[in-house]
Amino acid sequence: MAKPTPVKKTTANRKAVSGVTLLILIALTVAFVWLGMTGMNMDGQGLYKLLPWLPTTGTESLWREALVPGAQLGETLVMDLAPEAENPLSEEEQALTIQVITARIKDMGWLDSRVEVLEDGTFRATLPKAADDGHIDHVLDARGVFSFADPEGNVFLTGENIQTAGFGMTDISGADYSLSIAFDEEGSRIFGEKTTQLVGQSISLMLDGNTLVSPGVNMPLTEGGVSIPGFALEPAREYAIMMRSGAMPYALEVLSMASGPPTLGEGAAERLVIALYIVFLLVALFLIIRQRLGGLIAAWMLLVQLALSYFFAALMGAGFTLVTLAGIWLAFLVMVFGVAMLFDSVQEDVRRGRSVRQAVKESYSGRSHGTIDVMAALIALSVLVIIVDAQGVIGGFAKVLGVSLLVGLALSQVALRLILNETLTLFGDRSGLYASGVKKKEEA
Amino acid sequence: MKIRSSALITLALAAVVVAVGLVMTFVGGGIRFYSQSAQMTQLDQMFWCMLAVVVLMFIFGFVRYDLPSGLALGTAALHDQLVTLAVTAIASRAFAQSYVMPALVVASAVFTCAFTIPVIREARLIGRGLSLREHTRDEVADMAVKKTRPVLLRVLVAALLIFIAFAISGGGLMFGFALPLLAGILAAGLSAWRVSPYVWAAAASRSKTRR
Repeated sequence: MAKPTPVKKTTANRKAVSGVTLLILIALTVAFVWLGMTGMNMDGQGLYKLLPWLPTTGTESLWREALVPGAQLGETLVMDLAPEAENPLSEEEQALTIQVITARIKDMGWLDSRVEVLEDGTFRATLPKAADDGHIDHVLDARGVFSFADPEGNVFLTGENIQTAGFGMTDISGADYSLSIAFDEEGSRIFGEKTTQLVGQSISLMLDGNTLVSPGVNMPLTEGGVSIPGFALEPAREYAIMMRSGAMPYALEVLSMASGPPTLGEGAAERLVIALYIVFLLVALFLIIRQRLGGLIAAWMLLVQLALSYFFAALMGAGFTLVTLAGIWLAFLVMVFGVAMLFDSVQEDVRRGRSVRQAVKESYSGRSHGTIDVMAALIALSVLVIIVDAQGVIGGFAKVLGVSLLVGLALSQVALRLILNETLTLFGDRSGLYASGVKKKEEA
Repeated sequence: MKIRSSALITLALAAVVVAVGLVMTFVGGGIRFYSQSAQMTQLDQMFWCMLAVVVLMFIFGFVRYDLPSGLALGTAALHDQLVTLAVTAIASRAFAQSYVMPALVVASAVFTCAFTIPVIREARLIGRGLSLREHTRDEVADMAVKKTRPVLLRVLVAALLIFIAFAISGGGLMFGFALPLLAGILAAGLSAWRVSPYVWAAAASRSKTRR
């Protein structure tokens, strides 16, 4: 005959394990969120830091270094530029100038910048403050007419025949960079013919009439491209950007560079941070009122998802922009959907007389598959969109959304289930703890 | 394939909105952006991404469930993407758009998935458990819409809260920037409750009849 004592011991041990597991998870969550808000010095002098990554309204926090604000939500760099032309520019010339400046700024990764013509015919570029790296004016004021010339100075090819350009390290020392240029069909033909003629001599790469570099020609270059070494990092990057953007009708003169407010207005970022946290609080409050302990656990998971999403956005260098926020908060919405589906199913099963544990198990093997379907479809969609538009604004959004959804998938399918089971062990299978109004119906 | 008249009317109204919006996008000066540089936003990538969304939703529905579900999801994605773009284009006359607009138009796929997939799943589940002599597919679709409504209403409210948080944070300019979100939420809600379940019902009835 079985003795009841060992069973009691096992239950007590199981409860202790559940309690410790929950305590560890709570401590980990608190530590992670605390680090997200305050950061941490990794050594005694503070030379190595883990930057905070959770947006707050305070000015003391360094989260803006991890999630660099864009021009719409952060301090801006306002540059006024005047064309070096004797007569005012025509509308076409103004439009072409804006197009080239915009292309160069976007190529540097500052997607939410703004360029416009002022009434006096000057141009105003509004960029994020972080764009002020000491090189931005070199990229924006140069006209950007590239040409190749023979040793006598005769130009035989211009930037119009350049299809694309890039740059990369010439050797592992990291001191010397090469500019890689690919020509169009006509450019390939001309460049091939000229380098065949000039073997043993040199050609010059010129920008706006000034010689940048004059490498020697060792062999005919008939492959449709050339790699020119001898540049430092920043010039190589700037020339590649200018080659890709094309040339402006006139060079520009930088009239002024000053700090400015965000394009969405002073305090917009703080208001947005508060408003989004209020959304989280309202959702959490609703879940707790409706699902009680279950809702509290769900709100906990939603908080972890937000903290992890911001963390990965900061790691990816996504910046504090509307695109990043849209990605994170739409993934949050999908997580809310997952939680709502789960508890709706649990509540329905409990009303039918099942235990909460059975209902959770049933829900994860049944209706909760709907959550996996939604998240899997959206993750697949994110990957496809990243392939279609890797460097653009849609691709940037899809990267943040995809990563946040992966976090949400793991949390909703693994962590939430684990914690629900542990709380069921610790606090008992009482339906009143997980669904409001269920007991009354049972009694009725 | 006979689709319920209410769904057809909704689709017809959406087609009118889409036609007006697309005409405004391509002919009438295009979508109005808040700055001259943003006005040069290239929409080609957005159209490719929209196409990718529609194709992927169809394939996902077809592979994961069946052909009628694929058709329903593809229709919902097409409806939501085009209506979101059209409403954004029309509303941009009053509320200028930002560089984020293409991403937010494509983001309506999030609402499509969150609203339509549960309805289609539920319809398939209910359809399996009921005698089709006593209930038509349209009735099954009605039941699925009714069953999933409470959950989807909660998600809809959460989505609207997120939109409101964005919209009130940066004045009129920000309201315009967040407008594609609202258009996406409403378009997806409309298609999940009025269109896609009945497209699924019509396609499922047809495939059943053929068998």
